[in-house]
Amino acid sequence: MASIDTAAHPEPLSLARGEAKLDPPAHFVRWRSEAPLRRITLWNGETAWIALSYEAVRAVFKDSARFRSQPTTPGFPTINQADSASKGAALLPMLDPPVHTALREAVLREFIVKRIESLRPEAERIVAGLLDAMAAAADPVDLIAALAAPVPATFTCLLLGVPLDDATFFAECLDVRFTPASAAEAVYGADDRLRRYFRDLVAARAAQPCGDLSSRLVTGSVLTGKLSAEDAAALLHVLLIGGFDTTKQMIALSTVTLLGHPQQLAELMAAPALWRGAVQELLRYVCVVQVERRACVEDTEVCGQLIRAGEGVLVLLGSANRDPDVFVDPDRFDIHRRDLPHVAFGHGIHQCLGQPVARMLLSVTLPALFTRYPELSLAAPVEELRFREDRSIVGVSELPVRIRP
Amino acid sequence: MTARQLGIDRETCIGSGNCVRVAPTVFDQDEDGRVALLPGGDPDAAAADVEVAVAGCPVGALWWE
Repeated sequence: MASIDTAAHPEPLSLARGEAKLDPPAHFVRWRSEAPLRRITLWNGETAWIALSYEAVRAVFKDSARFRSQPTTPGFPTINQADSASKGAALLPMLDPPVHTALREAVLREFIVKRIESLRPEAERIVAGLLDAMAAAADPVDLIAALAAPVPATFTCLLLGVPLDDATFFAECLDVRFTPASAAEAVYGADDRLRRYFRDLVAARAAQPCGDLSSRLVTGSVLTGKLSAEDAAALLHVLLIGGFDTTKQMIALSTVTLLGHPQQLAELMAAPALWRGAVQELLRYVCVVQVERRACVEDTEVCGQLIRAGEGVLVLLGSANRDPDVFVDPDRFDIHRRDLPHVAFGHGIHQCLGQPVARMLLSVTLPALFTRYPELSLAAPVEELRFREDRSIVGVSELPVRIRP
Repeated sequence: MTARQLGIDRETCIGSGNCVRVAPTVFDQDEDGRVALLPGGDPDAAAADVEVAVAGCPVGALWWE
C-alpha cells in the first residue's frame, strides 16, 4: 500500500473508457482491486485521493463534517478547467451545513415522492407529444435532440414555472458551463447569465406570485425572511442544473442499455411492473455522474487509509456501483437484481434532491418509447457512439436511432 | 427473541424519499418531506424491503433492531 500512496508522482486520473462504453474506465477495476482509495494526479498537476470501493465512497459521502463540499475548502480537487473556473459558485451541492441544511429544507417539500408522482400525467403528456413529433422525422433520428434532451428540459421548465421557450437559453448556458475546455471568462459569463435570470425570476414572483414552485419558494422563504432573494435564486439555479444533463443522459444511455439486452427488454414490455426494478438497475449500471468532489478538513481514516486535512478526494460513483463485494457479477445488467442500494444519486446529506423526478421521468419515458416504436434500433453500433468521457457527467452528444424496421 | 423495533430520526432525515419508495407499506413522508411511519404499517410483513430501506438511507436516519 505504501508504494501506491506515497509515490511522489501518482498516475494521472483518466476517465477514458475502454471498448465497453457503458462500463466505467477499465483501469478502475484494477485500481479498486488493489486498494479502496488511491492517490492520483489531477489535470492541473495537483494530487488527490480517489475513492473507488462502495464502502469508501459511502464513508466519504456520509462524513460531511470532515469531507466538505465547499469548493473554497483547502485542497478541494477539480477535474478540468471549467470545473476549476466555477469554484466560486455557491450552489446547493457545493455548500456545507448549516447553510446547506437551510437551503435544502426550503425546497424539500417540493420533492416529496408522492408530489412528484402526482405530476406523472404531465410527464406522460410531454413524452407523448415528443414521440408523436418523432414519427414525422426520417431515419436516423437523433434521440438526444428528439426525446432525451427535451423531456427533462420541458419538465424542469414546467416544475419551476418558467416559459418552455427558455429551455434553449438554459441549454446554451449549461453547455458552456460544463464543456471541460471552456475558458474561465466563458464559464463566469454563463454562470452570470443564469444568475441574473433567476434573480429576475425571484423578483418577478415576489411582485406577482402565481402558484408555481418558484412562487412557493419566494412566498414561503423569501417574503418570510427565511432566505435572501439571492439564496432563492441560487436554489432555483441548481434545480435547473441538477436535472438537465443528468436525466438527458440517463434517458439516452438507458435506451442504449436496453437495446443491448433485448431479452430483458422483452420481459419489461410483457410485464410493466418490472420497470420499477429496471429503472433502479439502469441507474446503477449507467451511473451518469462519474465524479463528486470533497475536501478533507480533519485527519480521518477511511477503510484503513489515513486521509489528511487539506487533501482532496474524488468520489467515483460508477466504480462503487460496480464493486463486486456488494453487487453480484457487477458488470452484468440485470433488472431482477436485489443487491444493496446503488450510489448513483450519491449518499449522505447531498444525495440528489431531484431523484424522485429522475425516476419518474425515466419510468414514463422508456416504456412509452419502446411501446410507441417497438422496432427501435441503434443506427450505429455502440462502439461508434462518441462518448464524452472527460467531464463529471458521462454521456453522448448524439444518439442516432432508427424508429422503423 | 424480542421483536425488532423500527426507529426513525426525523432530525437527521433529509427527505430523500428512499424508504418510501422501497417500503411504501411502512414508511411515509410528512408534508415537510421528512420520514414518518405509516399508522398500522407492519415492518415484519415487508421485512426484506425494510432492510433495504434501512441500509439505503443516505443519512442513517433509520434503524431496525
